[in-house]
Amino acid sequence: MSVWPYFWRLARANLGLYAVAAVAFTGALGLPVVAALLLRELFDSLTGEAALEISVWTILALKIGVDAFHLSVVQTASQMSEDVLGSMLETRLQTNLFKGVVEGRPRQGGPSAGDAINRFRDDVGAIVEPLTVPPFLVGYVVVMAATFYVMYQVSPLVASVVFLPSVAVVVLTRALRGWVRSYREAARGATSRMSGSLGEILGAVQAIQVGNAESDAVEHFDRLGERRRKASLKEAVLDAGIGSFGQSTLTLTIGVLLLSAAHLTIEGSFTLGDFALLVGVVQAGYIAHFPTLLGEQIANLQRARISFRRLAELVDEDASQDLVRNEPLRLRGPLDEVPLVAKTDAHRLDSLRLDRLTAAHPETGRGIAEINLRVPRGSFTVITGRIGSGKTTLLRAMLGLVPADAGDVLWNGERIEDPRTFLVPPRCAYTPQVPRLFSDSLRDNILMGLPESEVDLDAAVRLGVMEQDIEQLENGLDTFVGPRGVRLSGGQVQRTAAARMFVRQPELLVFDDLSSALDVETERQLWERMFELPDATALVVSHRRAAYRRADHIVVLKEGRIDAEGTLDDLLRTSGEMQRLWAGDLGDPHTGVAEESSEAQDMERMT
Amino acid sequence: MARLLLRLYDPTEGAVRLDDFDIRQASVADLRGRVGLVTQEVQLFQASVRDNLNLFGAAASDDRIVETLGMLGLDAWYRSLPDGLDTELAPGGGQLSAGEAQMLAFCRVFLKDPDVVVLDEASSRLDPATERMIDRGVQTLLKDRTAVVIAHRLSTVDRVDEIMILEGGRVQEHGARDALAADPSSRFSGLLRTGMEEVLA
Repeated sequence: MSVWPYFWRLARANLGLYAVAAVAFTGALGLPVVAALLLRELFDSLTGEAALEISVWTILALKIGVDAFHLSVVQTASQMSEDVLGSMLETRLQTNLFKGVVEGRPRQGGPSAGDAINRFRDDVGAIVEPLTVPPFLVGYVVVMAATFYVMYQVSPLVASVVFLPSVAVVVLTRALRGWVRSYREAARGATSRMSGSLGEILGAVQAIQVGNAESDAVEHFDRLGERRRKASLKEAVLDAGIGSFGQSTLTLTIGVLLLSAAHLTIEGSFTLGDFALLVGVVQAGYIAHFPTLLGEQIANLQRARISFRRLAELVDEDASQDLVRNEPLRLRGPLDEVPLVAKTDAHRLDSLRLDRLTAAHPETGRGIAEINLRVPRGSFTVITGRIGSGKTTLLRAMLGLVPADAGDVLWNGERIEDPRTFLVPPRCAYTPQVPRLFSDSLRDNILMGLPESEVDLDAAVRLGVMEQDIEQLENGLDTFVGPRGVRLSGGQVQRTAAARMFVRQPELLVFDDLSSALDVETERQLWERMFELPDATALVVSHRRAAYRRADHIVVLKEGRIDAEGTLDDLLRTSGEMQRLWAGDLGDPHTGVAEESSEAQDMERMT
Repeated sequence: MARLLLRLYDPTEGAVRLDDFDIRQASVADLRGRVGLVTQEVQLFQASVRDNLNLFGAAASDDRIVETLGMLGLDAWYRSLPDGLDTELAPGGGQLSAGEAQMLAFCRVFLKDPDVVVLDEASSRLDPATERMIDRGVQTLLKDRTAVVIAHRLSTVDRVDEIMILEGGRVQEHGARDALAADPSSRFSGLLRTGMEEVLA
């Protein structure tokens, strides 16, 4: 993957800022040359060799004026334009990345949360760094060219020597590109492992304590830290090596320069003013900075390539271009309200149909094949089957959370282009098997930004069978649930997620296995209340008899295909698999524990 | 109660006793070496299968790990691992099924060879059919150990000796399973009847 077009697209939105920064830098770098030229005039007028007919005092005043302007206005402007440019690029990249993560499909087996945060910060920084450098380079090239011209007039030999270090550093850094990249990859990888592990350990504190594994876990973390230290050290040594090569080449060059200039001055082909000019130019520092900057820039662009790939791993495979899209940034004013999409006739569900829906897991090849299903308005459809039969995959493929390989999802007979953005409230809402709550109040977990005055929170709480819990909680709806809802029981988490779903009044309710945390009675109550809603349409994964008995239609999945379907009575008569599920008896203990992607990383899609 | 038993909290009044010995007098490490806990939430790490099962320590030998995996019916899964026990799990358990993840949690606890095992809704993410399948392995491993099973599913407590029903933090009922089942006025037999009605309706 070539990343340069991406970087260009990212930079393009800020071309104006780039131009301002380039002008500011050219000024910041060029004024010391003007000052050095004035210095030459000063010395030459003292020795009577001046080209210009100005008094010493005028020259001195001009020089002080130029220096003051340089230090106050131009330096500040260049620094500010660099900072603003950097912040703009960083904000844009982070905003796009966040959108990509939230709006994209949840990634299975992607980076852990701790690792992702690390990438948000450090990899974004690594990309932005070289992208703020071009204005510098423009300034350098302009000023170096001008200096070369001036110096060439004085002595072609001296002028050429001044540029040697830059050439040497560019040649060296380009030769080392491969190392720079692989050391960076190793260092960032080791950092990821460490921050990922920190997140995992903090998330598993109880398991570690109960397992008596505190010191072993700390040692494991230590080992990862040591690995990171070594990888980072290697990178730092390489970096310092390139830097010191540039520096020492430069020091040698300046030495040679001064010696030959001294020689030329004695010979008489160099005036004292020329010598002062040379010293002024060397003193201005950019001859010193340019090779180092150039070397760093070449290395940093290689690092940015690695970092961009690491950011792309956080979002959908086909979404890496969205990381550099140019939407206006909101930098001022209050945040937008989350709009309540009012339900209209346009959202009405008459029927949902799956037409030969097929989705295979890219690695295991497991999944669902050729699923045909019709869910009419007001119906209760139950999907059942043993673990690994594809129940969850079926729901997720229908909702567009995993890509479908073939087949269609039809809403009122019309093919849905992108189920992921179409099957959202108020059309459809989904509670995964392991719902995710945020470290926030119960109220905010249910509303998730919806304006409370425009929705019926109490009704949603009642539909989710949460009202008694809320009465018992000390702060009621304002109770803080802790990270991922740890302060609630598993059942409360699941019912909170159900309330979150009900408050959006979706036409179609999709539940993935409520029974993992609800007792029989509570689950029965939930179904009962749900069917008090007029025309409630529900598609649920369940293996509870209470659900089977309420079902208008039951689909029995086996190895990703529909094994049987119909009403409970029919199935109990005709389907062996249904009889086994009903009785909870599947014989051989070694065949059924099969891969069904872990839902632990599911994100709920309710915005 | 599971948390009190493992001293994640200490009681404000009363005491938890193991063999008449107040557990607050034992060191936390000793206690947790003898009591194992399996919860509904399985914590897996981006690390080798061995480190996941041994929790980064070296308590159990590879042979014992493989043997325990076999007892839990995970031998086919183990044989499918490309690098055996060195195989690294993806963050968050990656491609493991809910059932496999839960079985690894069982395995982790049994490698500690605890005297007391607490199963806190441990199999509730599994469907009844799969729960049955792992049941045999779990029964083998629970042999000669004391188990405390926290459950909301009646099928989970089929084989227990004693049952305690809690409501609002208080004991509603406590007795031998058979006695409670035989007593038509008990809460437990009431629950059994609800379950039966489910079957009969």
